[in-house]
Amino acid sequence: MTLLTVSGLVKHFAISGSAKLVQALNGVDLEIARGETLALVGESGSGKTTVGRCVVGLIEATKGSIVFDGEPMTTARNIRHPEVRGRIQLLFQEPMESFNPRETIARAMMEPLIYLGVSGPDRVKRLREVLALIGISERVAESLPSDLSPGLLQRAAIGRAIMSKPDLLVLDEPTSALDPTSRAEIVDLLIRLQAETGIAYLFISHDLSTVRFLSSRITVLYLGSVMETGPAEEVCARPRHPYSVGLMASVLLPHPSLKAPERLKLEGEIPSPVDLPPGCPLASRCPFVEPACRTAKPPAEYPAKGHLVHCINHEKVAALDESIDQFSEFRAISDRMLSVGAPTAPAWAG
Amino acid sequence: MALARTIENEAPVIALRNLTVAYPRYGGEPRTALAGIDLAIDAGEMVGLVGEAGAGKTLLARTIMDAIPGDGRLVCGEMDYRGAPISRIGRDDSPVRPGRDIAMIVSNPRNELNPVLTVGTQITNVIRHHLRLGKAEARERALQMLRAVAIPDPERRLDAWPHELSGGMAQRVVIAIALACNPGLVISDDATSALDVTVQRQVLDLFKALVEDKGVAALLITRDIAVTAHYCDRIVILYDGEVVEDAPRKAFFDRPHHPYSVLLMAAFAHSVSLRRQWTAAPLKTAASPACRFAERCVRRQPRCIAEAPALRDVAPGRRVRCHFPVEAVA
Ligand SMILES: Nc1ncnc2c1ncn2[C@@H]1O[C@H](COP(=O)(O)OP(=O)(O)OP(=O)(O)O)[C@@H](O)[C@H]1O
Ligand code: SF4
Ligand code: SF4
Ligand SMILES: [Mg+2]
Repeated sequence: MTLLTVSGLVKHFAISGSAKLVQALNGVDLEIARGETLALVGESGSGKTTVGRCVVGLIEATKGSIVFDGEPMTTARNIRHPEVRGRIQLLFQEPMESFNPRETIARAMMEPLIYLGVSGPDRVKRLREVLALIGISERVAESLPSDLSPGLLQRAAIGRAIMSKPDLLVLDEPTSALDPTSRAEIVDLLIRLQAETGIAYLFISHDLSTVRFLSSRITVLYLGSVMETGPAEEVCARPRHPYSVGLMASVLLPHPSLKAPERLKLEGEIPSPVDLPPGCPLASRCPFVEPACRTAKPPAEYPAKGHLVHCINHEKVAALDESIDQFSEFRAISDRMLSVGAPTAPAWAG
Repeated sequence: MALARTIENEAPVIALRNLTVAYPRYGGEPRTALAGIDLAIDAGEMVGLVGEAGAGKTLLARTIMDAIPGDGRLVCGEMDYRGAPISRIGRDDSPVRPGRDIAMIVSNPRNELNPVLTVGTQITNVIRHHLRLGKAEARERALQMLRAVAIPDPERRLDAWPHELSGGMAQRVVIAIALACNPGLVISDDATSALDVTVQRQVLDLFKALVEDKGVAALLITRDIAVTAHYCDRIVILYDGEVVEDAPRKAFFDRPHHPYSVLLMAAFAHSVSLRRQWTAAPLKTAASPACRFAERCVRRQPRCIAEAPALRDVAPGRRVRCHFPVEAVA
């Protein structure tokens, strides 16, 4: 069942002192079903954050529509509107942004429930439930944000976001400020919470190895346009858009044998999103470019069920060498390698 | 003379011995931020230094550059550059100069470049200052460097302002400046992490090629162990100011020996079962354990609390700081 539908989303920003516009989003479509994770990936300036902020109604779309659970989301009917409040939550990249430095974690976590009119005892009851879910003790919850490590604080921020039992959590780069080990813990927590509560995620990230195992589906964004959307495994192992192929080939995984084959080279860098030429946004970097790419935006095509791609040459892309899912490959290598020598007895507890 | 030169050539470009840096702590013992770092890098070798936030990566780089931030103090330790001690680095009479012999590239290239000078002026200023070349020669050398870092249309770029450059181009210019005076050692401190992945690959490929081509010693500092798997000859893992593992690339990734190295790899694999295996329950004793990793270590034993492990050789070119390293079992 569809929870969120974004259609034809356009967002332009004015540049002060200039008649030009930043074309941040240029017709983005996406859909999230209840209980699933859609990852939105792309490099800087692709418009990921802008999509997230339009979805929760923090900024107004220039064009297009956003429908959450059958009702429109706008800046007038946004994440703070009484009809929506508590049903969508937003998590930021910097864990500190979710907290007030002078307020304990526990207080901050209960705060969203005050606005929902939940009684004091019920707030405390829900706090206990959530603390158990996220694995933070009541003693730790009595500390101030500055006493917690960034990883633990992000864990608490997730707890705060799920206090109101939302249907959708929008996460904007929630792990990019964290160290690898804390990042992995947060990913585990998100997967577990979804299994236990059926919450849906819009997960915004540029970290493909995290996205590969966290999300059901992936949407690849480039210069404010969707390049490709499909099941996570398909997009990672058999990308159909030249940009996705280039992106996957750039990912480095921690094993020397896992260098993604350079099946395709993207020349140069991302152009600025001002005065975008008509046609395919990748045309300036694409090895498959042909004159037709520059005249009109490539239409949506469906190489397989549930797999959408905006490229007139996607069949040529599919015909590139056999590709591998290097993320799964790495997981297999590490399972084989690291399970040897794992301690059988627990660590000495002191 | 000939013999002396041979010996000199065989010495590593940089050798650090027992480098220890401490910060005073209000009302307490100073905090040892770098504890007895031993590390040597040969010409043409690229060493990857990996550690989490606060492990001391940048501090190590700044110590080598003779620019310890804040009120940190070099407690003890020695540094050799091409076999000669450089304890007086940075002084006017020192034969070794930061910026010329040891260059550093950091993560925000735009902050490195002076916004009010053209790219050409900035490169030639560095070249003229360190190599004492004339204007025309310096300009020629600058052009050569821009070509070496694969900047398209280098003649025109000499007159460009920093704000006209994209992130990737700005990082290339910074690399060009770093390598312009033929340094023996280049330190890259997280220099590519802020770049987009497609651009990061381009810049790393280029950096690696230049290091090999010019026979420079390179220290590639990163939080991302994946980068080191593809670009470095040797991997050094830093944990809380200590080198805990140092191994050739292939050996390291085939079998990491230190429990922390394993935990890092498991984090990247996103394998819940692996991480559960390698994540320790909290330690109950209040006293701070002798091994700095003990709090998080699944292999810890009473001995780890009482006795600090030394960095010891376990195989040729391979060192581990652990009483109970993960050895090959198969
Ligand atoms: N308030 C604003 N005013 C003007 N331009 C903006 C504003 N917010 C975003 N933009 C522009 O919109 C484009 C898309 O920005 P967005 O922040 O969504 O990218 P992103 O994919 O999240 O990138 P990153 O990974 O760097 O955060 C960028 O070119 C950005 O500069
Ligand atoms: S439409 Fe043309 S330019 Fe765009 S990705 Fe496909 S081949 Fe490349
Ligand atoms: S010395 Fe002990 S506590 Fe320290 S890393 Fe080795 S096994 Fe773990
Ligand atoms: Mg963003």
